Formats: sequence, C-alpha cells, structure tokens
Amino acid sequence: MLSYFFKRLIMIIPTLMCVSITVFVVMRLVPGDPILLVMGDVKNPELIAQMREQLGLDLPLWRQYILWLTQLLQLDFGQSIVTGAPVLSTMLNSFTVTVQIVLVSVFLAALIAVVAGTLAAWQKDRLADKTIVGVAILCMSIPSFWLGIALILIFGVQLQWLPTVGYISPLQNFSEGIKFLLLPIITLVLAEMGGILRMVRSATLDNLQLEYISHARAKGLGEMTVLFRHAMKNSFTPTLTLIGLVMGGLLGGAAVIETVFTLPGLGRLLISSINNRDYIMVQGIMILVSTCYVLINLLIDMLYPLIDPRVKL
Amino acid sequence: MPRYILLSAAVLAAVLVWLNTAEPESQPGPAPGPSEIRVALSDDIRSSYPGVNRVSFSDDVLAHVVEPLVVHRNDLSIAPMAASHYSVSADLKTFKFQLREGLRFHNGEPVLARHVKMNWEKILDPKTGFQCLPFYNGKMGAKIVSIEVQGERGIVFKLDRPSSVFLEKLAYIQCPVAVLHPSSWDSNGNWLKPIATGPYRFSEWKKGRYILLKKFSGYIPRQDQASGLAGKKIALVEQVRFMIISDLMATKAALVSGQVDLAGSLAPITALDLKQNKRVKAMPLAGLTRRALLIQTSDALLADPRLRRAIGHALDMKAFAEIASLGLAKPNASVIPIDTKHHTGPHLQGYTFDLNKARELLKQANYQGEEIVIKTTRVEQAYFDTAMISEAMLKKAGLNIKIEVMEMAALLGDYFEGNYQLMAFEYSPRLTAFMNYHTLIGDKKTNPNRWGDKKAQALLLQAAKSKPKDQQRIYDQIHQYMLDQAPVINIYNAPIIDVVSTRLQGYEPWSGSKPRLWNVSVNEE
Repeated sequence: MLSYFFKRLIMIIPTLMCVSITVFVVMRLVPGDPILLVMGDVKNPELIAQMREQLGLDLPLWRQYILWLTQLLQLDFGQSIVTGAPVLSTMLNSFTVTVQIVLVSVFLAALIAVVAGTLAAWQKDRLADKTIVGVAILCMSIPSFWLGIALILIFGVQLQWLPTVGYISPLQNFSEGIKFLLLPIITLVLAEMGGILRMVRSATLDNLQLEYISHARAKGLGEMTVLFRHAMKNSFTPTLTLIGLVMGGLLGGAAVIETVFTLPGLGRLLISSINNRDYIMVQGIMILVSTCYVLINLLIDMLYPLIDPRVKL
Repeated sequence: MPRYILLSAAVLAAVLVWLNTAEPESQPGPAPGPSEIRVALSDDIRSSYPGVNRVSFSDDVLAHVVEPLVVHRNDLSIAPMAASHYSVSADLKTFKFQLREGLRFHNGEPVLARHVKMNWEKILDPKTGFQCLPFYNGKMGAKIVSIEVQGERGIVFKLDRPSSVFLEKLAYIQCPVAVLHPSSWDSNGNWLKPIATGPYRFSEWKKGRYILLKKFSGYIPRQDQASGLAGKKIALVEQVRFMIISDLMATKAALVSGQVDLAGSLAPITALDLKQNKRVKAMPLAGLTRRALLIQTSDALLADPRLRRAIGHALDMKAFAEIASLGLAKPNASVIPIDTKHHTGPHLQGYTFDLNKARELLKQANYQGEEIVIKTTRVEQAYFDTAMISEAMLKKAGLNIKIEVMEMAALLGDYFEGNYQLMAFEYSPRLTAFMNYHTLIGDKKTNPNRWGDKKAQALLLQAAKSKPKDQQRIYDQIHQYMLDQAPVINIYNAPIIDVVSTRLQGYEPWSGSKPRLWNVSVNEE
C-alpha cells in the first residue's frame, strides 16, 4: 500500500508538468495583452516596455516558462500582473473560502445521498423510490446558478432572512458568518446531491441482488441492519469515486456559485484573473487546483481498502 | 458506518477551524447600519495608488480619499480643491498654486508645498508607473520643466511650451495627482496606502470583497458650494464601504434587500426593473459616456471616407438613441457631450439619415458588398446593443455586416491594437472637449486606435496652445472635419442612472459618472 502511495505521488509530477505547459500555452494564445489592459487608454510605450521587462514578458516564451517553473519549484508562485500581490497568499485566501463551502456541501450532499439512495433502492419502484429519484433528477436538472438566484430571491429579497452578498468567516463570527454561507451551501448540496444519490441507488440495487444479502436476511438480521450495515457499505465504494470527482471539481472553484453569492472564493478569483489576463495568477490557480484534484483522488483511492477489505493496493 | 460519518465530520470540523484562523477584520454585517453607506462596485480596484495601475473603480473610491490641486465642478469648469487659488501666466507656461489653509493629511500633519513637490517627483519618475505620465513629460503635450516651492504653501509649475489644457490634465478624473504624505510609502519606497487629504481616509481593502473608507475627523472643508468634485465636502457618515459585487443580479438583489445603498451607472433596462421597488429610487441624468461605432481608417476597405460617411448616413441616430437608451438620451454626432460648454451650434450638426445618400456614397466608393465586421462584446449589454442596432440599420443600406462577439479583454486588446474594421465601443466620461478629442486623435504609429489624420492632429495641437476664448473655433473646425472624414460615428451620450436606497439623504448623481458620498447622510426612518 505504501509503495502504491509513493508511486501515485510520483505520478503527480508529470501530471502537473502537463498541466503547467497546457495552461501556460493556452493563456498566451488567448487574445488580450495584460499590460495594455493595465495601461488603459493613455498609451505610454516606455512604461509598457518597463512593465514587460519587470514581469519578464519581454523574454521568449520558453524562457518565461522555465523561469516560472524554476520559481514554482521553490514554492514561489510569483506576483500578480494586475495587483502585484503575491500569488500564493492571494489564492490561498480565496481557497480557504472555497474549501469551507465545498467541504461542508459535499459532506452534506453525500450524507443525504447515501441514506436516501439506499432507501430508494430498498423501496425500488414504490412511491418512496419514485419520490426520491424524482427529487434527485429535479436537482440535477436545475442549473446551480438558477437555483442560487431563486434562493436569493426567496430568502434574501422576499423574506429577508439571509444576506445575499458578502462574506464573514464563520469562526470569527459564527452567527453572522453562517448566514452568509447557508444559501451557497444549500445550493451546492442540492446541485451535487442528485448525481451521488443515483450512483448510491444503482450500486445498492446491484448489491441487494447478491447472495450475501440473502444470507444476512436468512440469518434473521433486521432489514435496517442488512441495508445499512451490509448493503450500504459495499455500495459506498463506487460512490466514493464520484464524491472525489465532485469534490475535486468544486475545489477547482465553484465559480458560478461564488459569483452569484459574491463569495471571495477561488473560482471568482480565477474568472477575474482570466478576464484581466493575469497569466501568473491563472497559472498558479491551475497548479493548485490540479494538485488538489490529484491528491483528493489519491486520498479516495487510499480509502478504498479501509471501506472494502477486498480491495488491495 | 456511523463511525465513518463521525470521523469525517470531525476531520471536516478540524479543517474548518484551521481555515478560519485568519487575521481579524472589520466584518460587514448583513445590512449597513446608520453610520455606514454601502456602494456596489462591479469589480475590484487594482491598486490604491491614485493614477497608478488604475481602473475606473479606483477613481470611484479614491475621489473620496484624495484631493488634487484642481478638480471639475458640476458645469465641468475647473475649480481649486487642494489649492485655495491659482493663477496662470499670460504665456500659458507658468501655473502658480497656493495650498489652502488648514489642509491636513489623514495622519494630522499639515500639507506643505514640499509635499506636493515630492509627490510630483514621484509621478514624473517613470519607475512609478503613473498612467498619465505622457501628459507631463512632453510625450503628449507640454513638458513640466520645473516645479518650485514658494514659501510653505506656494507651488509653481513651469512648462516648456504654452498649454491651455494643463489645468484640464491636472483635473483629469482618471489620473488624479493626489497630495500624499510620505508615510504612504514604506522605508523602501514601496506603496502602502494613500495617506491623503480627502474627507474620508482609506482604512481597509479586503481584496475581492470590499474597500472601507472612514470619516477623516480632522478634515476642514472648503467654504464654497459643493459642485462636481469641488467645494464644501463634509463626511456625514462614519464609514463608506465599497462592496465588490460582480454579478448584476446580485447587485439588484442587494439593493432591494437593503444590503447596499447605491449602485451607480446602471443600464436603463436594469433601472426599469427596480422602478417598482419602494426601497430604492432610480436617479437618471444626462451622462458624458460616449457610445460610438469606431471605424478603423487604415483598413483597406474603410480607408475611403465616402464609405465611412455612408455608414453615418445609414444610421438613424434618433431612433438609435431612443431604442438603446429607452428614450433617455438624445442623438449626438459630436465627440463633445451635449449640454457642455463647448457643445455649441456647429456641434448639433451630424449625418442626416438618408439611405439613398448612403447607397450613392457606397456606389461612389465602389463598394462591392465586401463583408465588414463589427466587433463587440456581450459582457456589457450596451456594446452589444450598439452592434446589433448598427447591423440592422447598415444592412438596409446594402452593407454586408457581420457581428463578431468577443470576450471583453479580447475586445479591449483589439481596441488598443487597432485590430478592427468597425467596433461597438463606449468611452467613459471625459470632462472637457480637449480630453474627448484626445482619446480619438493621435499618432497612429503609437496608438493604432487613434485617428492619425495630420490635419486633425495639427488642429488639436493648436487647441492645446490656444487661449480658452480661441479654442471653441478650433473644436468647431475639428467637428466639421470629422463629419467629412468620418473616422468614428458618434451616436449618443449614455444616460447615467444611479439607483439609490431611499434611506440616503442628499445624494445626487453626477454627469462625471462618479459616486459622491460626501454631504450624504443616512435616514433610518
């Protein structure tokens, strides 16, 4: 298991290299010069040249890449072209906001989905199953931005129970902070729950046909024990893969949700950086996101043997 | 299974605790209290250094924090601000300013002429990156050859050649030359934050979230009437918070739920949506933002002025302005905004809507139905509307028009590089005739988006050197020449619609398109 872990860790290096080259090249192929955007309408050729030199943008592309990579290996993500702020601290500040909503949302979505999906499988083709599956399909079909807007209109504008813009860290002021996070979390839970639920239901349906379930029932175990101790445990392994993918995707920036709720998260920072052609910031964010994605999936893989002893790594 | 859930919950809680051990901050509650005004900004500022790495949002914020020597009044005339008064020599080469008494920095220290000189030395140093440096180093107009301190509060600028627009440049809202205290920089000369002289001081900037300004209790206001960015400014609330809200829907929701008090310069259709709401009121005003169809005069096809004039005659400007502004704006073919000092009789002249004439000009230009592309973006609805209406109208005259929709940064990139045939574009407010022409006329080699016509450049140069009384004649000449050459088709000046919470008292929109939150109070009833 340990050698598998290290092998996978080493595999991160070529993955991140590919990501870094792709992001670097694609960003530079996109039209729009960051320096001209910073300069505005009063063109000052000397200042433009000075800024290009300062930022290394006057160098050939391959040298720019090597320089950036060398800095990156020393954990120096560079400075934003737009604000001059250090990329690492800027993106980590935003990342903490994204991580908060994503972790809580995925945890809740998985919890609801696993329980509801298992019950739906147990009640296959009955009213409960149809209701649960119907709700899941509805959640999957509604675009998350629409859902977010609808929640804002109901709870923020009409009822005025919750704020619609801004952010406060919940641990600095829990009662206020939680108000700002509630709507984005509900939106994400509803948006992500459907897919996970359908996966749990499908896996549980398969498991309920297997002999060990009949054996457990024959032993006289209660239906809930059969369902939640035996069937659900085995259904959870494939679901875990999906949870990992969802979490990895969302950590890359729940950009739409962050924009609708004006949360200062990583997705919003990424969009703003792309719009401003802040090459260095975009590159840094993409490296962070890719690393998270790969590490989360590695973590999920490492969890398989804990949940299902048949899995050997 | 429950133990896995409990374990996950415990890990989750631990991660959340760790994530939230950040520095404490001035936390904005869900709604502003009686001592705070909240303003929606659709994007963050890039820097708090006035005129350096700026965007229009920086100007919105910093107008409350810094005071240049001179600023614009409501009628767009120039008024002293940090200066008590000024004088200009007869040869238009020497400008003397006397700093106003009682002027203090936000740290309580008095403002002296040597501080002004120190700031100008930084501005004129290319390393600072001051955006409008070419205005002062001879690249775009007269060069400052010396800055002398006279006594404690006197400061004299000497130029290498006459300039009747030097004061206009000093008052240019996009590049305010602020009077900043040396403690605005650290000991290594790195920028910290503005310690300036305005009625509000710069308190906190949470990137991507908000900028907080606090009342400067040591501020001694001028005694002349408040007008534009000039006159008596009193901070009537303890703090002003600019909230970064990039989504329009979120801005509207925040306005109607009372979480922000002001959203400036909204589109007419957005303001119309909010008209029924009792919490807010829409305050429309004729604006100075110029919406236009840019023409690349160096394009092989559009190099022929007859073809460019045909475009002008094919557009029904009255209908255009009516549709695009929902009836709030009048057409204006001049670069100079309507209802401003220099928009005189000759500037009322534009292209008559005449499809036959347009077709005739197309025939004379030997136009064979070649495709002409209008570049635009959907990020700003007004740009897209301009392109769409133009396309419909120009097609009627027989022009083969195609719209290319781009992302905003790509469009701006093409604008700066002059890479377009036609472009639906808008210019943010320029408060003087000279500055308006300056955005359009210039050397095409360094500014490919400018109209590089030699005669036009010579006329503009002449305006910059002429006495104010002679400038009108030159601006009239430029307008006539522009109608003949059609390097751009000006359509209308966009109305400004500020949507304001009814709890704000004393707020007035300004044609300069900047929120002004001095002399504004909050009425909680």
